[in-house]
Amino acid sequence: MGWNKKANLKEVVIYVLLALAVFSLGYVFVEWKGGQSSFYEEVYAKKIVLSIDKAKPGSEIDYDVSELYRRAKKSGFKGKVVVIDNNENRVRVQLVDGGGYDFNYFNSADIVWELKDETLKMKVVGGDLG
Amino acid sequence: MNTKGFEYLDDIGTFLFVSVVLLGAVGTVMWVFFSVGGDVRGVEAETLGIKLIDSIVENGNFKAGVFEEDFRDDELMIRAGIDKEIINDGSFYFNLGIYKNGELEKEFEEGKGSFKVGCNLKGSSKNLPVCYERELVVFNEDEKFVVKVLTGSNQEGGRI
Repeated sequence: MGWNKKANLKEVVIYVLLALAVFSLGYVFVEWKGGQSSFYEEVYAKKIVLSIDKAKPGSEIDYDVSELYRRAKKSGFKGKVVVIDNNENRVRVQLVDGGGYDFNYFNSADIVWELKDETLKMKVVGGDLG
Repeated sequence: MNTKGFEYLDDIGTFLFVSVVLLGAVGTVMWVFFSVGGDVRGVEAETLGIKLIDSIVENGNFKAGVFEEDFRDDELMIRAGIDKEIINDGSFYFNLGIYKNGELEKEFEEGKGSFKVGCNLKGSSKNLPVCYERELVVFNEDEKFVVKVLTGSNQEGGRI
């Protein structure tokens, strides 16, 4: 088999560039999907709802939401990243203007909550203590 | 015969094909990861079922009042700390039956009734509820009962 150094180098360079292009596309997709605000809104809303549903009256739950603040800051959103509506039994997580995700909890207890130091502090009150 | 992999420019087509297949596989795995990872319906159904059981059973015995005439669905949900409006908004279902010698003694049922059938259907469609089923023996004084619980959730949540 013949050996042509010049031709081989050219081919190697083309293949490397193609490989870089193709796998960069894959990396960009993973970064894009994982970095989407909508993904974090949904995941955090569901996580918070599950912790509320499992909680018994009297429970206190502190939830680290620093990641939400980081992403809200990045997108320029200045509102509350988490809102718990006791009338609708609903948790809303919002990281961008015009965005947000709602998820309902079935726990009938009231949730006293506040956002403090990038932590969601919740206290489950009311309901049957027996 | 080419035994050295992608040696010539002629192989670019093969290279691109292999790359597309690899990217497709990675993309599929990512899609499954991000979609299944956010499905919490099974956990919701289980939490609902456990709450119902805990509200009437303690250490293998029925709590007081369960067999009283006025202890019905509403009272059960109050005891379990479950919001009636949310349960009946179309995304949840529960059925709790108390059996003695195979005969249904008392039944509690709320939510979307079609889930009773949906829970038995096989598949992983988003339209089907994810269910939790549990059966346990519970005593009332010396009498032996069987409690059967079936709960389902199909809450999808909503983007604003």
